[in-house]
Amino acid sequence: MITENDVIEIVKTVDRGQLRVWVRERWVCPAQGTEEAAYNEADIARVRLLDMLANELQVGTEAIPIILSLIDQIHDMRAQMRVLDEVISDQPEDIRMQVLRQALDRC
Amino acid sequence: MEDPYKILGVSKSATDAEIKKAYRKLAKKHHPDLNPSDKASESKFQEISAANDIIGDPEKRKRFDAGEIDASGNETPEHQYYKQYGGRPGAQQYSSGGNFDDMGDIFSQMFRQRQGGAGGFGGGRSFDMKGQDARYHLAVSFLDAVNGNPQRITLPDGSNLEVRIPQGIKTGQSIRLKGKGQPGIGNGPPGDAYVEIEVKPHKLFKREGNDIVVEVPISFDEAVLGGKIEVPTIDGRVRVNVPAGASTGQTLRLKGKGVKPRKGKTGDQRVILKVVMPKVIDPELKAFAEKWRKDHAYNPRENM
Repeated sequence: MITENDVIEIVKTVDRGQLRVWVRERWVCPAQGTEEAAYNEADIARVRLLDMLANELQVGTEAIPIILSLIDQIHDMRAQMRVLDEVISDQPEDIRMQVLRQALDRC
Repeated sequence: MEDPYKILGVSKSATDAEIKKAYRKLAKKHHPDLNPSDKASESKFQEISAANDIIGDPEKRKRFDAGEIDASGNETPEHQYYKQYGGRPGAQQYSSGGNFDDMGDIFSQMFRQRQGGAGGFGGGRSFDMKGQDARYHLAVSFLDAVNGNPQRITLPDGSNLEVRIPQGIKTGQSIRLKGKGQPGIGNGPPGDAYVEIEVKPHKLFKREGNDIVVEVPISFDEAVLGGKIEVPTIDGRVRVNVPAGASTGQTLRLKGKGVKPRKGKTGDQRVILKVVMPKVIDPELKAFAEKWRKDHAYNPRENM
């Protein structure tokens, strides 16, 4: 289990106070463990992203939720596109070709 | 690496502040997480950050300008970006909850399905929304995980959540409890609870695939003569026959005594024998060994 202590050990440029603010704002959403918050790999990557935005690029606090929301929407969209891509890839050759041709025609 | 000044687009006489500004501007443009669909952004960003590592640091910049260090050998290590996780299992907590209603029937239908809504092509619009998902982390003992013993989580409000553990669950797997998240908005259904499982190690048993591996010490006389010994398994002790002349490292396979996963083949238990000599070698044993050696010496290292 990756704890809050581990996170500030892994991402050295983030301190406890800052991490707690991010969790309170729900920019980072660790799982709730029996005793304390439990982070996974995605949470750590999220902390790194926030560290980059807030500390390295000095993006203002008001802009961060806007950026996160847009990033999250893009990832949801990409996830759905991946599903569609998989479904189309599983179709027989002629249907796949037909979809591709028609899509190209409209681009 | 190319000239770091060129990469950041600044002159050799730029001030530290100008360099910082140029770096930030480029980093904002090329950061891989701000360009999730662009594969090339990763190497571009890597280049920018490596350049900044040199001339963005006044000390290193001085040494670089003096020719004491060059731009090579300053590649930044491979970075983990959020885009590797976003929109994938393990990052459900960051789902935007955004609506793709204007994206046409297929997308809005897929979206509604995922949000647990009523679905249906061309369905009506409303402000009903599924509640937020909750996320829990649960540490389960080794035996509870392999045997699938139900667990209980106490929520912050003092209530309890029963979690049925599928037999043979592994660390990192998640259990979805439908409707156990936050209440929905309007007539929307409640969110789901995701319980991430961590299996704690056991002092005797180890798991390899669906096999359980356990090291069992045997005495010197048991090794020589063989016989029945009792060994622990994940569902109690069983008696096992040790063949005469057993050596350390020899493995006995107990068919079907491993993990019984919900899907897939039941594993075995592998018992690795370990011969343990008595703590004190008494005169009798010593005398016997000396006598035995005279006529029966053997070299276990002849192939070394």
